Amino acid sequence: MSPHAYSDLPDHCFWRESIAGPAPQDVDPVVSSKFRIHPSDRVATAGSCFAQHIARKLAASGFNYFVTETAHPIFEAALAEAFNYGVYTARYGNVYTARQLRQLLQRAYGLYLPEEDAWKGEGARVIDPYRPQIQPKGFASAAEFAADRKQHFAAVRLAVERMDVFVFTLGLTEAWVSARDGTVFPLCPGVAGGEFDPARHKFRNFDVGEVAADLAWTLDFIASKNPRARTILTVSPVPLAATAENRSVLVSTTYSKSVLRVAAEQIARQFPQVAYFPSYEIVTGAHARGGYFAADLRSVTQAGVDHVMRLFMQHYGGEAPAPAAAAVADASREMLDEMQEVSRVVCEEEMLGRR
Amino acid sequence: MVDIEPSQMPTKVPPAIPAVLLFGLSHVVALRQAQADRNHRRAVTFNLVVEELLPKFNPLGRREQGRQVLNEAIEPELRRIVEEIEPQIIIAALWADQHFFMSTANLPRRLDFVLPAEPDLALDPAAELVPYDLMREQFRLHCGYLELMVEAARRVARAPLHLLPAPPPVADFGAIPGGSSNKHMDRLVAEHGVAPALLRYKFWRLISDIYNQMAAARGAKSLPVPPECLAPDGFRRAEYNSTDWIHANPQYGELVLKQIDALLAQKAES
Repeated sequence: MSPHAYSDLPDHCFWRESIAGPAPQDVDPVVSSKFRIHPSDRVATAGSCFAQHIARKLAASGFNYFVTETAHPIFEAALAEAFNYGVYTARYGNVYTARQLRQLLQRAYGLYLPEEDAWKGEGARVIDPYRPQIQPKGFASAAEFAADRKQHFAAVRLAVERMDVFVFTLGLTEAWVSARDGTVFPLCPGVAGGEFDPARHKFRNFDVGEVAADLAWTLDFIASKNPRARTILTVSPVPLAATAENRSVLVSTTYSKSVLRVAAEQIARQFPQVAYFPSYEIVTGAHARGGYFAADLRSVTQAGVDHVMRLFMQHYGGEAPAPAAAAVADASREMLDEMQEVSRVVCEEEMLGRR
Repeated sequence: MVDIEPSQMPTKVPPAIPAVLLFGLSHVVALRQAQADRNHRRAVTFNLVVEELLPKFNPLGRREQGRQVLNEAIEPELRRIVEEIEPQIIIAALWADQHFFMSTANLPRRLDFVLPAEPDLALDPAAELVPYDLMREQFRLHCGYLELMVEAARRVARAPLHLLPAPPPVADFGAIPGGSSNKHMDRLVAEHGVAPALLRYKFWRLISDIYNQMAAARGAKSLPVPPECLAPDGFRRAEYNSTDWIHANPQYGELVLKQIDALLAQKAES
């Protein structure tokens, strides 16, 4: 047999050698990385639900996970997480679509003001239409909402301008948008706030061109603010929970993931500072035999997340992790502890002195 | 424990003046002093029995397997007093200085929040905004032992339970040269500066919100802050200040005693 185009290709080009042959947990479709992340690099995250796994693992794995909207250290960690501090780099909640990410940046920089600005909650409470679940019951007042959003946008700008690496997980192509100005809602109005109005809200299912265009705009914008920032695109392996298309959710899932995967490929080829990381393939590939999905066939198991992050660390990390910098952050916490002690003592001393 | 010493008993004490149990923390002092003033003036209208919890029950509680547990000696002692004096009303002064310790010295990382009831109050431009609901949840945890205390009081007596608010905050610490009355807090103030007065007010309102809801959920009532002591801006009028930055004086205590008089009168009518 004469040599041909496949004769000298490495094993990773062959299904039997690289996918069917190895044990499922040893399959490595990453092969190589466009760049490495230095331990001191500030790594920002955003994206759909699966991005939360990535953020959590990054924070726990010695990467310099970059959070620009941190909880004040007086708060208990579990409480702070319930209010979405540290879940992502800033408190934007899940960013499911490329259009949502684009509009988030536009809004943070004052380039865009959605017509539908706030939803009325219970009593005087206010729900942010663009992060409706960021707090358990929304914002306690319109004034708090306005002040918090201003602070949030500043945190988004800081992330854009200071991050070294941005990991964005593409999740969905389906979205509900304002019929008036096209603003994307992360959740259909009425699900977690607001009221669904077919005259004001319409369904969109973005195609490859739209997703790629939104990503390209976003990457150009980030580069204009922060030329050194590099981006890693991934596609969430989590299937759609529901589709608004009149067809099987399985068919819609395949369409969505295909569009996102193609758009990510196009962008990674077009932009030298952008890499694609195959989270989707690691979890959904045939090698896993469906074993990386939990009983609901949607949630990714811990083993699946671990596989993804192990390869992420292996190909993008690789240097000794920097120790977590906690010393500075907790000066306020220490002072709070001291104040609580003082509080106890104040009571006692005051009582002794006033008898 | 009983405030009216035999030697100070009024000469014309009504044959059966009602008993009122006041238990709690350091804010009981202003009421006890006011009652002593009434004694001197022969103006006692009820027998005020004061049970001050610290340092007698120190610590008030502890954490066991992540749960707060009340000092086991408190409830039996309250029961003993209730059986002995049969109070018509119980006043609990459990709100100590939870608002004060967070808003007296600046934190290294300053914070501020919007009060839902007064959303137009200014925000500290040097501070980060934190959500009111998050503040509320955090400080509700810190007030956990108050809930246990109220529950204990409800178990030992059928008499109505009223919760005493902390006196309104002081606007101008500079007017009280005595400082916080605690050298540690004074050092923190010297080191970090005095926190904005408005933050102190907001904390007071925040704890008030927690305290009132906690009381309502356990069948207790919250005594209102005596309106006479409030300045138009919501801070305490200077004439009710004591010699430190948190506690009020006997004149303030007298305002509360009058509230208790009114409660007893209502009870008698009903």
